[in-house]
Amino acid sequence: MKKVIIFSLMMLLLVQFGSMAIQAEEYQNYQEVVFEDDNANLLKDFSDKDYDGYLKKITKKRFIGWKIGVVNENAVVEFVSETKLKIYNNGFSTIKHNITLETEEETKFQLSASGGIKVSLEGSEKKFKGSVDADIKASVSYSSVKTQTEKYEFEIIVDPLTYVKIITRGQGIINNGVAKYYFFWLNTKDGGWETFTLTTEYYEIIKERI
Amino acid sequence: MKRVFGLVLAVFLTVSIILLAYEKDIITEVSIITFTNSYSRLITSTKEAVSIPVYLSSEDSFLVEPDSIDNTSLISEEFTLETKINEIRNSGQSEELEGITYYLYYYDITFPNLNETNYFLESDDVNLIITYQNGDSITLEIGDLHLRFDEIVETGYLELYRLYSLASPDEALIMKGIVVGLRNKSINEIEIISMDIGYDQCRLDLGNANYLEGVPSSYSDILAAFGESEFIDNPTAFSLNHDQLIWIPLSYLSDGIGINRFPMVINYSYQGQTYEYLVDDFQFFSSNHSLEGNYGKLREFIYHYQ
Repeated sequence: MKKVIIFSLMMLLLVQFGSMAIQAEEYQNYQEVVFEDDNANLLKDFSDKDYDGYLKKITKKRFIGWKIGVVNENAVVEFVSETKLKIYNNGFSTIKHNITLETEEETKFQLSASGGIKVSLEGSEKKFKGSVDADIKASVSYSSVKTQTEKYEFEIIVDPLTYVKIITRGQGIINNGVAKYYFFWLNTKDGGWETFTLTTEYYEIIKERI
Repeated sequence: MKRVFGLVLAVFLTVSIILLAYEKDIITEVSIITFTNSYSRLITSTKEAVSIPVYLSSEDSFLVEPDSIDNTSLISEEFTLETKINEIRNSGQSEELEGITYYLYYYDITFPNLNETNYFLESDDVNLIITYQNGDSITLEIGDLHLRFDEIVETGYLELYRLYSLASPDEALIMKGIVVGLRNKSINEIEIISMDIGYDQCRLDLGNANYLEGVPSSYSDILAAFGESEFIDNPTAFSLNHDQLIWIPLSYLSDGIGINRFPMVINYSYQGQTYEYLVDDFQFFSSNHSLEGNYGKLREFIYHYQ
């Protein structure tokens, strides 16, 4: 009896009732993310009902470890990101401004997770915490794309009472899904995961009156 | 005595093995790879740099130390121009090609002796020659250069208020044209006569320019509205009465020109007078500097250590 109680207590300790808060990265805050496929959704837009439904689809159990369910695989998205830069001229004479922009590697590949799945950063490498990373890698192809930090300068005249802003648009690939963790064939925790790989980033310059 | 000799021999052998194990491979040569790109730039100051992507097979070389450079120049059939390399930036990226790992650097070239305005420098097949303080030189093929040295000045009657590009959705990512918003700051009509982007093999096709009602977000929107266009040489001028968003296709005279950045020189007519409006070179989308993606454009120079 004692053994059963101790085992049950151990099991309870192992069960993590993770909140559904999403560990979000930059792409979650983009002004607009539009999927090519109208039925596809971002992880943050999964309803509780959808989420439970996706979890139920994972029927095979494991002795110990994660079982992955893929919801959207290599889904193409177009996005409008946040404004990269804004220069105001509130004065009464024109100003000449030298804009320097730099693309950063870390914005090219991003991860999100919810529930019992966490994101970790080891050095410059982003990954899902624990063994779930390898399981997701085995289910969908996700690796950082080969890009480079690039900087460029653009000189522009900003007229009085106008502002100049630079926004980025682009295309990317989303993979997302859910996962269940099993311990002695018992489902002890679950969570959602998502990878975002930026494929192309377009720059747009807009000059407007204040 | 025998024991002492044996001990000395054992220590000697152990030390030798350790030294051999930790000794780095002696590098006898460095393979340097460049692309034959097309560069079109408006250089507005002596500090402005043109960044040349260069791959090297070694990170541990004086070839990437600006302090070890004695002099640099750009040489083509048309000109020889003294330049300066102030900075060599390690991008932190590496790529494998035919079993060799290459590291991507950017060599930032400036033109300290060119402080002129309205000065042009154009040539195909330009080489960057770097001479190091040990007297050795390397020759890097960098492609075509179209440089204009000028300053951005206050605009006259015309002003840019929006600019972005639309590209083909496939993997090759070819810029299909630009969406440009032009503001007529006067109360009279302006005629756009020409828009030059510097490149020989690629032009803005003004003959197929179209006024836009909305803001297209993809090239598919353009195809749906106007279809594919045939290049019209010597187009007639188009007029501008107010703020206008315009779609201007790009026409390529040869294949394989991957461009993502250029300035614009807009010539326009206002009340019988011709004016010029300069827009600095704008990077429309991120560059693809991968070796794999530029295979046909790769050029190699091998530096042998003496």
